[in-house]
Amino acid sequence: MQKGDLKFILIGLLPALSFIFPFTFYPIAYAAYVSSLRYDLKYPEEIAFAGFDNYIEVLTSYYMADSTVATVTFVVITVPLLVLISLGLALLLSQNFRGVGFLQWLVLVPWAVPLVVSGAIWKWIFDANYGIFNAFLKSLGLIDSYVPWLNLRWPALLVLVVAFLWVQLPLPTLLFLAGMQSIPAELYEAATIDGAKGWAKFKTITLTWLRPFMLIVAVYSTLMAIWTFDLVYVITAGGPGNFTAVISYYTWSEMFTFLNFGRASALAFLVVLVSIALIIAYFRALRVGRIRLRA
Amino acid sequence: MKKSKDSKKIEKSETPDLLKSNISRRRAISKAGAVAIGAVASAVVAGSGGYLFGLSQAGPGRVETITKTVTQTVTGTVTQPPVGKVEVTWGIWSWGVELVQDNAEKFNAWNDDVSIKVVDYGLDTFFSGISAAYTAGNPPTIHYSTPDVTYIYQQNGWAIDMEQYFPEIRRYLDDIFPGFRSGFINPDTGLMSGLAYYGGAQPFMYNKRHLDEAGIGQPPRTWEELEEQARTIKRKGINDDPIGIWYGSWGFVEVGIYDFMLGMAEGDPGPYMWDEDLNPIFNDKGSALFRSLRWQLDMIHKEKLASTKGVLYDEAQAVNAFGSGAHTFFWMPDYDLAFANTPPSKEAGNLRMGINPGTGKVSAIYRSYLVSKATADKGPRHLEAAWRVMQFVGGRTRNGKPDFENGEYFVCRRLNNEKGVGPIYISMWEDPKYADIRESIKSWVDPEIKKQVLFNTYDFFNDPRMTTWWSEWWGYWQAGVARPAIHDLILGNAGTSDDDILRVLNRIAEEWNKKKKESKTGK
Repeated sequence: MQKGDLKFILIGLLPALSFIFPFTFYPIAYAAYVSSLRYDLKYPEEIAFAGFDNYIEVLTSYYMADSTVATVTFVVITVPLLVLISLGLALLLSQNFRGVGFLQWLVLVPWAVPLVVSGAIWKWIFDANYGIFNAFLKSLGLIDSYVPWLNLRWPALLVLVVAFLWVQLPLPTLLFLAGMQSIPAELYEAATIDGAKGWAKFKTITLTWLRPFMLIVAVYSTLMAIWTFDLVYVITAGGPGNFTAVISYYTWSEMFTFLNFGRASALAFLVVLVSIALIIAYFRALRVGRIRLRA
Repeated sequence: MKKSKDSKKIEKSETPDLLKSNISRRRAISKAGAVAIGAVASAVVAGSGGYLFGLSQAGPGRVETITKTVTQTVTGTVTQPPVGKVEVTWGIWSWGVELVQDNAEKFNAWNDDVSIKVVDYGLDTFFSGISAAYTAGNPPTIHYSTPDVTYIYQQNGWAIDMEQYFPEIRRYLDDIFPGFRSGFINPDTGLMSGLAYYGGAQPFMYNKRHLDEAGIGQPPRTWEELEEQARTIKRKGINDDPIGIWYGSWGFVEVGIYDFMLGMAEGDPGPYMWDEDLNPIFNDKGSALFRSLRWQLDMIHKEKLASTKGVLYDEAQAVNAFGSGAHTFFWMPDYDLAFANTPPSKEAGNLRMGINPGTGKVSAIYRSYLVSKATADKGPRHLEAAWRVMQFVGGRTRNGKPDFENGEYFVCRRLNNEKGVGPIYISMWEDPKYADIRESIKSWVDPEIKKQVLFNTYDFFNDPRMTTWWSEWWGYWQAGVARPAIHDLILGNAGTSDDDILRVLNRIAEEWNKKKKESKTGK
């Protein structure tokens, strides 16, 4: 690279960095700083350096074990489902059949609905007094009286999973679809000539080609699952008991209920560290190395 | 620190300086005027001297300068330029915003020298928003407050006791229902902090249609009667889930915990959670909390007269559930009955407010106005403006001007008549000039019963043995250990035997003691 190139690159990056620095890097750096402070908004006069105290406090808090289990359970269930379903949907939408355009449009609908509204919709669907799900089951004679699904541990978690999948499906589906549409037709033709059948073509051409996309979708899904808050807040509020109280829910609680900014920042940073570790693990597992989306 | 209501009050001899400066304000202005006139006179003399001196030393340019200076000074001092309006920022949460704006506009039209600017801090974000504003040194002049956080504002020195500056505020105290009065007194100083936004209760309610269909003439007066009536209603197929208990959202504390403890706590040890040294006593089989949980678990899991649905209710769902006939007996804020018992609610006209079974006591719900310390720091003009606004929104005024003797509770009346949010002032329920208050609520509640309920409310927020005023308390209890643990108990996930209840309560007590040790204010 020549000296002039670097100058050109820096000038080119300037517009983007002028936003990223004040609105992304600075808040992250400030949060890191706050996580090292005893920063309780209820006692603003007593803000002081606390080293790693906040980290120790959140790691030994009464909620850490339960919320870690809740978060891991949620991630382990949702991420594979999201990858598989979006891949399946993309496969369907990449076919040529009548109405595919309408289906492609339909897939995008959840994207247009704000997360809180989506949460409210799913909460109403499973409402214990007038939920349509209960009405449906009762009309089929499967239940005698309405069931408070969100008061039952696994059903409540399942409702969250369904709501999460509904909300998050559009982007991974579009990514996979874009990936599939970028596969050169010649590859499939050559494979057909070589006598490859449907599954073999899918496995060796489609999946191989989509590996970088799969990495992006996996990373995206994992991060979204780890940081899911809106749906939990609206649908279960962490319940029943604290069965669905994922870590992001307690990050919010530390910040806005307990007003303890130091502990909230520490908790958020711990999750960021875990997220980074997971992303590295994904890169290694899928052996993608540097992502190149162009052939 | 042990908080008690008999905290030392500020003696009259300790009248604050600011108050003194208020009383002598006119004298101070006169003195300032005299000083200014003296200064002008000096300037005129000096100017004349200068003029004469300049005349002998230089040309006409200097003459022009001196003349201008003297003229400006004289004009400015003698006519006293009009002082600008004092802006009072009114911090609210997002409820009834149109009415708030309209009230502010009315006040502004009636007052030339003070103007209200409404600042909305959101609903769920109100506490964090106000706290952040205080921390940033930019709090509103006057704002709503809830009893769970009022003490935090006071303890941090963020909010002031208005009685310190305006002793006449004390006249309002006798007009407040006895069960609420402690909520307006700063427990550390014994002084009144502010006036009331509104007040009410979480009373017992029932569906009269269900009772009529079951052939029950009177609502229950004891918990045994309530159980019996619920059994009859269920047996006759009128309602499958007659006892509805709101455990979700903030209903968990104020209804699920305190309404039942207050109603059931007859005799020793009373409805208390902690002893005088703030040691937990709720983790005992004789405690009010244990007894109320025992009764509730029996109703849900043994008798099947109640369900766990209430765990899921937020306030809107609670209103919808009772309004749609999902339950026969229910407890929720009194103003919510205005929505549940009027069209298009399914059970409109069938719902009644009643007296809580057992002791009759129910938990109080009230909101107050606080004035920020920053306002006092700005000086007497700002403080007086805040006091005028406080009297307008929570006291007696006439045409927007304070008038305790002959004025009316203008904003409180509008809140009641237009929003169903009841006044906390006894005179508004008894004085014939407020007949419209009773008339306006007749369509959804019997005013006489509501008045009785208000006399039966208990301010559990300000009894240290029921609610310690630690800053950590609210978050800890609401969203921390207690709520998920008791929810698990209610749902049957933690077992339903006496030992199971005790195990859960012991765990909460253990966490409580830990929190107490960490607390900066709970010692």
